[in-house]
Amino acid sequence: MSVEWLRSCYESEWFLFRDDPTQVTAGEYYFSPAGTPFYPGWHNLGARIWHDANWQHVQALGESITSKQTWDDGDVPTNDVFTIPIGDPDCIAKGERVSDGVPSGDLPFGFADGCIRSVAEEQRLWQIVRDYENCQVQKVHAFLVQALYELDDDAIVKTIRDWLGPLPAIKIHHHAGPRPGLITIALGNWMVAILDGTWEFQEFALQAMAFIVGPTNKGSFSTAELWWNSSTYVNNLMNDDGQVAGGPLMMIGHSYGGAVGLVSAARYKLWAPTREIVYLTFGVPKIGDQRFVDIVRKCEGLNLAHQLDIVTTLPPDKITLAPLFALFPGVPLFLYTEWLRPYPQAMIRLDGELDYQTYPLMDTATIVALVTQAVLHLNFNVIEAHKMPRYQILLQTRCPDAHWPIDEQVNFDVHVNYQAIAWSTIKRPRGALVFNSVAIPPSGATCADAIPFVIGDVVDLIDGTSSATWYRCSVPDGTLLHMSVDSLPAGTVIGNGFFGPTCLSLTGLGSYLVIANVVCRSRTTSAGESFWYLRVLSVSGPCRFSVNPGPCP
Amino acid sequence: MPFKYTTILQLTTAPTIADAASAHIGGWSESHWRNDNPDPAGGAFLNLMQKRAILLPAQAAIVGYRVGSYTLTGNKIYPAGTSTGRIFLPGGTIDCDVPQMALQLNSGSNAANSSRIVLRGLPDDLVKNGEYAPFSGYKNALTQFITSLRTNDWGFIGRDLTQPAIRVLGIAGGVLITDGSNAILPGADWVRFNKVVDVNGKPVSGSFFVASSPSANHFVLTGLDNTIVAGPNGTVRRDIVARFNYSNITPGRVVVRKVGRPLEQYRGRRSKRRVA
Repeated sequence: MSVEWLRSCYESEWFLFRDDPTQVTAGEYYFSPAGTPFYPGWHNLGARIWHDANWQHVQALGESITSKQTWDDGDVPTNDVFTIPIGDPDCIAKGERVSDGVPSGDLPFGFADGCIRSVAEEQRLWQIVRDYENCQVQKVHAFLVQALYELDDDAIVKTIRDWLGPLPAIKIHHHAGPRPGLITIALGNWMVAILDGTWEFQEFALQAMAFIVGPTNKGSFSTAELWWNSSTYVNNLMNDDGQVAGGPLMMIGHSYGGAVGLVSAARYKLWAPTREIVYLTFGVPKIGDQRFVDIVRKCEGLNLAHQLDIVTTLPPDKITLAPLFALFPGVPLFLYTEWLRPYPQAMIRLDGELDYQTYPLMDTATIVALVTQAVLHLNFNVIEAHKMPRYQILLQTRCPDAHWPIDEQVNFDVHVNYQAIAWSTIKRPRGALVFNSVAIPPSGATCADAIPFVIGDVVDLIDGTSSATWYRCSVPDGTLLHMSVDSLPAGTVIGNGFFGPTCLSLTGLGSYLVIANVVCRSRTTSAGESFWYLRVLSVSGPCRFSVNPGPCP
Repeated sequence: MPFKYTTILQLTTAPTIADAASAHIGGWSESHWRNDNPDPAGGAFLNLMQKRAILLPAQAAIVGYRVGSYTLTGNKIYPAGTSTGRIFLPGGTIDCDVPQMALQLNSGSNAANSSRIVLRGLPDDLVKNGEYAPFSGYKNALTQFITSLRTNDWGFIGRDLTQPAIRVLGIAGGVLITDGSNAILPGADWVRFNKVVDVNGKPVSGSFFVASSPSANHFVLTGLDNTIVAGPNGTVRRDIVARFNYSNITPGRVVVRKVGRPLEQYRGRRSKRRVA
């Protein structure tokens, strides 16, 4: 959080301890990113530059009046930090106590190590989320698009948290008038934008059909006016949600939303040719002229088309239209042919396989009906195969073994979270969950309250099938904890810690492997397959790093 | 406990011919003091900021605030914490020119202490032939701002000039001799000299702690051991910093007060901004 208004950043020294006015702590200001909220309470981190030189100020807490100020460029010296509640308002307003101080040598750049944002972790999650060719990833994105259609915010947030953990920021904007709904997932400098169509999405997807026009020239390429305008609208929302200029970006959308996503991707690519832009669309119609298709090809992504979804073939091409020129004399059907399909487009066959060589086909009767509706300005028939759930079914058919909605992630190292809360679905245990982080003990707890955690007995976990690598861990409140730990035999004491509803902290120095506060629940997929989900809060690390409201020796 | 309420203002020029000029941003702050607990999100401070924003040109806005708490003891100010925040209150409808004009308001608190309030970013249409020339709407808005200042106990801090000036009869050996004590408190007070020169003709300036008082008119001051003042020479006064309410606020004249770099002179290098 921001604490001060400054034009120039600098290094100086601060008096921070209420019970020892002689101790000074070195510090520096750096510019916080735009939009960073201010700390709402009172503090003693303010700059002395605001003091009026006419008056004699007497040093108490705060920046030393006599210390030398050294100009600084305002760059944060390392990666960004998370906003983590540390201490309490009274402590921040009235000063820390020496006994609660943390040796500055243990705080990288002044922050608890758990606060430091890990670029590696951000990149790891980006690599997961951008994997558009992964059927599992496609399933998650398809689920999110459908949830956006259904205005099911809880499902959206929960699914993303299940998938990517607590780090990414999630913003949801429901559709408004002709504008599509939008989910943004942002972490570090990357962002994923997921767009639905509108509830009348077919009208928009078929608008080029209905008005019998070619794409509108927008300067660098031609596309639909509505899509262009909506991409501007979406861009504004993405900026509001913290889009980082030039940062990796993934656009995902269905139908009209997919077209808007591709228009956005093209516009970003024109602006920043080296920017990493990935896309994934479902059921997107033909998007515009050759220039547009060429620009989109400079991005990386895939356009999925249901085998029976004829929206992806609209407006129709010359061959399909050929019989109609005689039926509709005087109607400028040739304008349809200016619309081109995006590349690459993969057709999902009914058996779930991807086919990059062929496209969904439209029979003559269908095209005659559509053109008739367009010429007479009638409502279009509903195209069932265009709906998002139909895509989800084909994806489930294509990759039924993948765990819904998240692939298993058993081996991962969360070394950035102050309170590491991770969701993981585990079907086939493949190693240990390792966390290196610190949690806050319950208020008032002391190390004398520490509770040993013991690896329990082997249990049957999945559908009655015994697994030699599943264990049950018990804690004093009687909660059964199921987990998979390859390297630790039953009976191993894996650490002493505090156990509470949401927190856990180790008490000794050293490196620990701890898994605790695990919630088990089962979930059944549409294929009738049950999975166990484990919610894991786990920490490891020396207790003295626990900068917390309560005493921690 | 007084609180210093500071408004953060910003002015961004808007070139109308893109290839002839580029936009510049300048900023400044304005502070007023109150005695009660701060409520930046509402109440008197928000009311004051709203009234102030109307007086700004269209290119300026209030972008944030800062509240500092202080304890005044004698002539000392003890900073006791700050709190900051962001707010956006856009300016009025009048365009600015080069933002270099300010309107000075005069305010008296008592017979001795007065303050000059300077409102920077004065729109150019308010100045004709080199002098302040408000139209009725702006005059009304200024009246509202002044009313907000006066009726909500806003004020300023300064040395209390109502403290009586005591004739200095001499200084020798660190002992001040006056023609009357006038309730100077040894062990607590600081004093400040006015127009007192030593035997070498050098002014005796600064504030000095009154360590003790051997007799009614004799005061031992710290830091004056080597100063000798002979004969009746100037005056001395208790040095007390106090807060005073604004009163009798009247529009003064237009003065030159530029707003922030780069619209003002160079004041050291600006930090590099991180790319968002």
